[in-house]
Amino acid sequence: MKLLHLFLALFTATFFLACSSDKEQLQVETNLTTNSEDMVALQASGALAYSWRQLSGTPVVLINANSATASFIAPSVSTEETLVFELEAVTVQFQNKNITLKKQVQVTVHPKVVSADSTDMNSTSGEVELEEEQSNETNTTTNETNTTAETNTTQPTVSLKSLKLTLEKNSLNVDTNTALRVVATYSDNSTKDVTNEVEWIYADKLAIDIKNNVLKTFHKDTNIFIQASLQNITSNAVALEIYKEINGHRLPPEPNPAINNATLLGVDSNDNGVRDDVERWIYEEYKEKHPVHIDIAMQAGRAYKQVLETPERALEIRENVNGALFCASYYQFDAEEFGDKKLINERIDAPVKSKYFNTKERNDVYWQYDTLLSGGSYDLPWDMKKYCDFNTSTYK
Amino acid sequence: MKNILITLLICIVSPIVALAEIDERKTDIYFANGILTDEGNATANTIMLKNAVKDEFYNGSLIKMQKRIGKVTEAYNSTHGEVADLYESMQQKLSDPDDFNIQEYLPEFLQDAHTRDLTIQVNACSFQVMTCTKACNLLNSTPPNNYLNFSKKKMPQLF
Repeated sequence: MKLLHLFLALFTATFFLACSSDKEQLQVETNLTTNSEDMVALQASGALAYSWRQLSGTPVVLINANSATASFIAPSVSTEETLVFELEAVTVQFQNKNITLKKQVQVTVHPKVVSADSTDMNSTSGEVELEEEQSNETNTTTNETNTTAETNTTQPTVSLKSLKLTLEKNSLNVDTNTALRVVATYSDNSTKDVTNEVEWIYADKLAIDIKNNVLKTFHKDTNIFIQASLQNITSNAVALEIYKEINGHRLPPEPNPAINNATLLGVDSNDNGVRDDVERWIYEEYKEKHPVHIDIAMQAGRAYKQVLETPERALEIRENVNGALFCASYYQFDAEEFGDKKLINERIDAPVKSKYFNTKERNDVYWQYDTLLSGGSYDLPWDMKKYCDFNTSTYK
Repeated sequence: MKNILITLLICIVSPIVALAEIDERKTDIYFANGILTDEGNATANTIMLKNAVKDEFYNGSLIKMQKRIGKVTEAYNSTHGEVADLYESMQQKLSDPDDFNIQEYLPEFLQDAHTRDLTIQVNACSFQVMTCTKACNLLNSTPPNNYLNFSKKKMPQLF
């Protein structure tokens, strides 16, 4: 008996040690301080997958939000402000099961201290150091700024001091353009537009292209930093958010699959009740079809979330879960008799379902729900339109 | 005494309530799904059946159909998975070895896979059959995918 107790104690201790050591694997600095317009890095380590999102404060554009290190440029503030971010990370748990951990990170942003000699052309990245006057670079600067400098050797040479990059818009839909501008400041405090002369620095060549002072986004929604470089001087980094809008609806960013599939409910960053990956699929899949397709598919998505949340309430939620099917059925079979247009010619709920229950765990929950319905008899409603949970008057 | 009175009252009232809910001029349609069908697909197939009846017998009019059909009901029996459904079906057949012929059985096994679940539903349905003046049509589907196969000729009298 004593041996059994000893064994149980050892087992329990091992179990808790295993669990606690996994939690300790995730390391993240939870309090950071920065200055206005500085580049900030949110860093974590020790996990398999990461996903950062902002919870509060002036909205910033998070770059590499699905990686261990996410970055952003602190907003320009006049008084101290705290930005709160949340890290969701997947770590290896006891018995090879993944566990999702969440941690909050607070970033305190201080207003920028403007000294007498500094200019607002300073880099916001914190990585670019201003060049002091460089007498040895005379040849490279004189042709740009001061033609008299070439002949007058007694005068101090003028050198490039800093570059300031600005974008007309910092948030762009895919397949659109915006103008950008780079202004150089020289050692004599003169300035010049050098947009046509700089080299562009950005990581994702599939996201944008820059030609003739115009930035064009491709068909990829992502967030990137852009910088300009001239004569070994690098400009401030500018964060560009590239989003995708379909039928006037802005899609949530593509979630990190490891994070998204680590939990039953997954990632729903815009809190509209439909998991982000499914929402993106729905809008892409039905964007060429009548908008009612998207409405019904989103309705199905919201209903399937209920299944994942409370499969044990199968009998109570069944009608709601099948609501999208009933609604689609109205627009496919009954609409014309009641003065509406026939708008649908296909099943919508079924493909959404296959996307929603896309992991073994989610599928298991669905079958838990499904099995509870077995053996029951369910009357079809005659009025199927009333099951549409969106404004149907727009489709008259 | 009070309990006896309440019990008697329920016994007397129940048939009255039941009769009030039954329209003797109408037919009820019951649909039982085939194997390997989840509830969503079973509902979709019930809708297909309803629409097939509507188009076949009521010129595509739901309003006309409602005048003659009381309700369209899905009697759902969940799948147990391909292997389990097949195993269940085989078990039922093997329990009667004298009658078992694998060549005859194979084409039918899918249809029979859910006989056991279906029996429960037939029993559940039979209460309503007893109270109906016409019929409680239990239409079993043909797997796979509950392909519906019925025509006006096969059951003209029901609708």
